Amino acid sequence: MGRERSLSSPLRLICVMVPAHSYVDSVTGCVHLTLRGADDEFAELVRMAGAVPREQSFKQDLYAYAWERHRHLLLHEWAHVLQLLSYPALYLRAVRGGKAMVGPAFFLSANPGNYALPLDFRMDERWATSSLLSTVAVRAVVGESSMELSVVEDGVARGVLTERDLIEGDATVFQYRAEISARGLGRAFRNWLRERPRYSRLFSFLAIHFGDDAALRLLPIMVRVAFRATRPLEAFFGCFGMIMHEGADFFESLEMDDEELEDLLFTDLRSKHGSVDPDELSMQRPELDDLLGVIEVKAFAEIVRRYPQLPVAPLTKIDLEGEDGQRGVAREALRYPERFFDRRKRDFDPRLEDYLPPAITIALDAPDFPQGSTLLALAPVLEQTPVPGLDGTPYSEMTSLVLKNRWVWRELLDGEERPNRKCPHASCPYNSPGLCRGWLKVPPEPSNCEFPDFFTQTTKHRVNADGTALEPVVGEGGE
Amino acid sequence: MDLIIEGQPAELEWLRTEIERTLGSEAGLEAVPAQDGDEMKEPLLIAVIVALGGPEIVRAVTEIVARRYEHAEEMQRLDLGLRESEMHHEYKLAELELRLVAEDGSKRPIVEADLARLEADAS
Repeated sequence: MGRERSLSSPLRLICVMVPAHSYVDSVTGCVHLTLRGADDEFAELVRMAGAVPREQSFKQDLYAYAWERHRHLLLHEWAHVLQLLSYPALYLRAVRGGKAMVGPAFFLSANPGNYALPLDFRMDERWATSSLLSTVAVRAVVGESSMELSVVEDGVARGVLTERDLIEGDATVFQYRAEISARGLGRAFRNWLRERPRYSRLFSFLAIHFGDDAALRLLPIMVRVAFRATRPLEAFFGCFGMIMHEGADFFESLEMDDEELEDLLFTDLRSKHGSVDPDELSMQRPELDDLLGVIEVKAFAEIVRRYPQLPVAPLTKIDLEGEDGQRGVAREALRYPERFFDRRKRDFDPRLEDYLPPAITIALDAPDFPQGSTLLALAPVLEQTPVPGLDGTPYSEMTSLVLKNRWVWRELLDGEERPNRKCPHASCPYNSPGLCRGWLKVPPEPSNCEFPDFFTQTTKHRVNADGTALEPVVGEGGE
Repeated sequence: MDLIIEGQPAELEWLRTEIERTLGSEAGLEAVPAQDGDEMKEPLLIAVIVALGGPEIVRAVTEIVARRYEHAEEMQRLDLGLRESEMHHEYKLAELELRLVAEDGSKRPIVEADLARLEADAS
């Protein structure tokens, strides 16, 4: 190894202002925030979280604190939610991800038997490969009048992009425009990118070919077109090839607004690859089987009608088919974020309230923040919308169940058997094999725990007394 | 000719910022983020790629790489701000891994001392 130099006094660590950690789950559309802070307000929130009984205003105060102090993060994550609900390729991928998520529970329900722990579920190869498509690296070699695409194993090379780069580059431009409440200029965007860790690869790639201003303008347009098609990376490079062929200046000279330019690129893509029939886009088939083609708005609406089980589904539905003043707002916000966010008031257009992330979890990264105190904020629209075919059950109720399933099975399917160290009840048979690692609530006593019932209801199985295997349950909620 | 720099995320973040600040678009810089999992989260750099387009760029990059030790506290701040799982509470600077990419795409490893020679060659 090379030489190493230690840093100065550890006291400095305490003085450092530490930002937050956040991400969006690409299946559930849930935003997860873990906040850190050294200010009095943060300390007060930690105190409130530990108070017994919990103070009434804790939830509102924590939610307000997150928006006030970490607005930039929430804007970025909100962009991902808007992408997920309005980009057909992402929606379809989330549907398929949801199917893969609940697959093990469905399998256990349908196949009662004894299963040794840890559980060893493996996806079919084409499904497993499909789940990795967003991170497959593709290299574009751009010639005078041609472009060659190839999948590469080593993503550390110039001209290599992944779908993740497209999604993050698009969300980064959204965040920039929302923060400054303006369209912005290429050079200013470049300066903004270096203020803190931010995704810049896609912009850099485009800027080399188009220049900074055109790259800033074209980036989100091209990404939107790409995710209105199957195989978004191929679709993206299709747009890229067209722009390279005509020259970025040509598109500027057309004096089109972004929506018109998007339509132009989309029409070109359609003329080359055609439209995909929604019947060909079944959630029963892995994404790898999809043919390249554009997904028309009507086809997207049909996909949402067939697969309404995602927490973002009611948001997608109102964006596609909502009332006047509600319809198309998510797509407009992605095109023109500056119309929806006021940097002076630090506020957003009320029309976006229907498009708040379906769920936001907020936790405080502090030793005294009690386990199980994570705030779960569900979007108001979920309370008001019934899930089709579920006898009036609102999306809010279903979303809680989806999130529980997501957290539990993500932890369970990592193939490792390790105890749930967040829970003090080490003698519980669910604890030692770690079946409940993804369960958030820690009960005062094992007998109060809701996890065994949840597990049995969703799998028709329970753990045996010594925590070494699952056994089928007949009756008692198992059947 | 490209230079690929690999190292710890915080050091790469600092290098990205400094190279951009010093050279702007001239550096043709590409910051390569980690691609993992199905979560959309903040970037964690695994490499930066710089186009060594002339002696001034090589000189500037060489100086920035050499200067990084003077900015250890800035990198410590960045390190703490990066993804939780990657936090290094006992942060240490390690030598960067450098690879030179020739016009034909072939890559060969170099060390920091070679940068000065590259600068002379470019002149």
